[in-house]
Formats: sequence, C-alpha cells, structure tokens
Amino acid sequence: MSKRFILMLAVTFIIFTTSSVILLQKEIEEPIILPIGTQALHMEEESFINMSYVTNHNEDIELKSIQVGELELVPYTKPYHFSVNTETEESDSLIQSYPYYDLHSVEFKVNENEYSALTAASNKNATAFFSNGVKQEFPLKLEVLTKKKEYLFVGVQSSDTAEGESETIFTITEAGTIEEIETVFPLANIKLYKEDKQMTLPYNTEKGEKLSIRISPNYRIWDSRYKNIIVHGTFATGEPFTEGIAQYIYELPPKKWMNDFVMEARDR
Amino acid sequence: MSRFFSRVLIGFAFIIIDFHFGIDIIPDIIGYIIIARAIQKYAESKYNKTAVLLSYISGVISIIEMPIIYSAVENFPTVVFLLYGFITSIIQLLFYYYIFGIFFSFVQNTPHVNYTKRVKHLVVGSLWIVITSIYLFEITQHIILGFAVVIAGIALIIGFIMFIIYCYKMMKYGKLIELSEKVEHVETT
Repeated sequence: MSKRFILMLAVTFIIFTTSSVILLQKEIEEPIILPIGTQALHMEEESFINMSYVTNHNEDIELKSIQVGELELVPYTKPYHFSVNTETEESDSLIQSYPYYDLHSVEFKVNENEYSALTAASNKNATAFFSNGVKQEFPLKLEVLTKKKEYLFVGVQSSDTAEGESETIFTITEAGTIEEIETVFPLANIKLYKEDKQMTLPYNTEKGEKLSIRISPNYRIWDSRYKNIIVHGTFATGEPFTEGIAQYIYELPPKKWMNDFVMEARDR
Repeated sequence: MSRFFSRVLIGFAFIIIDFHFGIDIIPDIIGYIIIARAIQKYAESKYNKTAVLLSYISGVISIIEMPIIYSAVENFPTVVFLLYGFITSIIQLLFYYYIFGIFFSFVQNTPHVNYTKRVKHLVVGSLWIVITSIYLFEITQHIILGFAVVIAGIALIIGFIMFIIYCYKMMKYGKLIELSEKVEHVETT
C-alpha cells in the first residue's frame, strides 16, 4: 500500500472517530416532543392538532398515533401525497434536518363530532406512540373556537420589523379587553403593540383600533398552517371570547435554538 | 489479459446494475465472485490474495445491504451502526485500490500506465472524498460540505463510467496482444 493511500485512510479514520464521538455525545435516547401550547379547534372548519418532535439525524422514527382521553388519532395523510420510490423516500413527517437532529411535524385531523370528547380530555396528559415502541405522555390543551362573533380582523399579514421580529397587524372589530395572548409555540416572547408602543395586559380596546402582535426572532411561530396565536379576552358586554390569528411566516427554528432545546430537554 | 478484463466488466455490470424488488434480482455478490475468480485465474500480482478476500467481503456486504436485511442493521445500537458504515466504506475503498493494483500488473511496460493512473485517481480519489466528507457533513450539515459530497459523487459516477471504458479498452488491447503473439508464434514455427 502506498504511503499516500495510508495517509488518506488515516485522515478518514480520524474524521470518522471525531464525528462518531460527537454524534454519540449528542445522541438522544428517545424522540423529544416539542411542547405544545393551546391547540385551536374551529367550529364548521377542518381542524388539526399539530405535533412536532425531534429525533436523531436520519433516525427513522414515526409518530404512529396519539391517545387523547378515549380517542385515538392517527396522522393525517395529505390526499395529494404519493411516492414512487418507497425505498429512498424520506419520512413523511420530516420537515428539517439539523446537525445531529431531525425535526418532524405531524398533523392529526379532528372531526367536529370528536370535539366534545377531546375538550373533555383537554388539560390532561395525552399519550404519543412512536414507531420504535416508545410511548410518551405530553400535556395537551385544546380549545374550541366559535365563529359567532369576530373580535378582531387581520387585515395586514405578517411582516418583519426593523428589529427582526415577526409582526402581525390586526383591527379590533368589537370593543372589549384583551386579557391573554398565547401561541402554540411555548416560551415565545410575544408582545402586544400599538403604534410601536408595547401595551401591557389586560388591555382595553375600542372598535376600529389597530394593534399588532410581535414575536421575537428566536421564537417565531414556524408553522404557518395553523391559527397559531390565540387571543383571550372579554367583549364590552362581558361575554368571553377566544380568537385565533394565523401567522403566515414559514420559518423553522434556527440551529442554535434546536441544539439548546435538545440539551435542555435531555437535562430535565 | 483480455479474459481478465472481460470478466471484470461482467462482474462490474452485476455490481452497478440494481433492480430492487425487496432483493436485488441481479445480485452484486455474483459480480464480486466473478471478479474474485477472474483474479485467481488470470492475474499474477502481489495484490491477488488481498483483492480476492476484499472481493468476497464486498459480496457479503452487498447481501447485508439489501433493504430487506439492512433494516435490521439500522436498528443496531448507534456505535455498531457507525462502525459498520465505516468498515464497509473502507472495504469498498480498499477493494478498488487493490483492483487497480492488479490492473497495474497487467499494464506494466505498456503505454497504458498513465491512463490506468488517471482512472485510478478518479475512482479511488472521488470515493475517498465522498466517504470522508460525508462524516464531516454529518456533524456540521455545512452546505459547502454537502456540495463537496455532491461534486465528489458526480466525479465518482464519471469515474465508474471511465472504469467501464478502461476495462473495455484493456480487453480489446489484450486481444490485440494475444493476436500479435499468435502471429509471431506462427511466423517462428
């Protein structure tokens, strides 16, 4: 064997050993479910429960089903999805690969006749069943949104602010009070603004008032398919309301966020 | 010489042509066996023993890598899976390195030495870059490394095409040599 070839083998061996040590250090034993905030179910509309989870890179683990109370839900397969080559096909749920990890997202379609059974089980732990036999409990909060009376109207869609935040502007259609704002993405730094001034909650609103919600870049809501900001409050009449706002920015969590998130979850 | 290269060509065809229906209906192992037998029968070089061994090992690996069996390998603990990937890659690299070692024993003292070197550098070099940069890409996911893997992959495909052309040319060259030897023999007798 020539010296040059031996050197080439040595380089490969060193790189392989280094990368393997790093990979093994970063490895997670089980998939990690990203915490889910309140999931909105819409009356007279198709509703989905969206779940995301992290696996090791190239680990072929699928979320087979979730058990919410008495109901078992299986992932919703998009009707237009088909595959020619099942051998090389990446898993359906994979939405982004990171160094060491893969981010998966799965949606579960919910029929209106299942709403009552689901909301009865809301605020309790649901169970996720993975294809590798792992079973995990996770907190799930569901809320049914009615379309009876619109509290706000989203006229201008999401855009980026100079500070790099994601902003959604909306108009108040009925006077009332905003008591709480939450997102399906927990830990998000979410703030209410009026003309570049941050407002504190609870905030009394007037009909026609223009407000905006801003989310800091590291915790952007990254799945645009859902009404993923939920505004809670009361109308001027005292009647409570819950409204959903869709964020139309499709952005995935940055590398650093993913790494920090997995490290934190592993330490817990 | 011509028989050796024609066998290598046939063997290589078995290796690169894949028709997967759960199992490969043109199994790679047959290709590796043909190559190993060709080395044993027609080649005389210091690389023979190792090349034959590597050829048989590659054949066994090709069976393991059939999707139906490979799914079991994938479920092995990560350390085992990583080691398996590394060992199989190195065996592939060694296999081509030694095959070219044998090729050189045929083309020694012929005008084809440089041509053999070029094909060897393309095949072995690009295979080495693919293997090595994949490990780096795995931990960094850096776009440049991903790009390097793709470029090296393309170079490897070109290398394999060159490998086929090379074997074909050597087969023809071997026939020519044999023919001229026969003519010389007839003339002297």
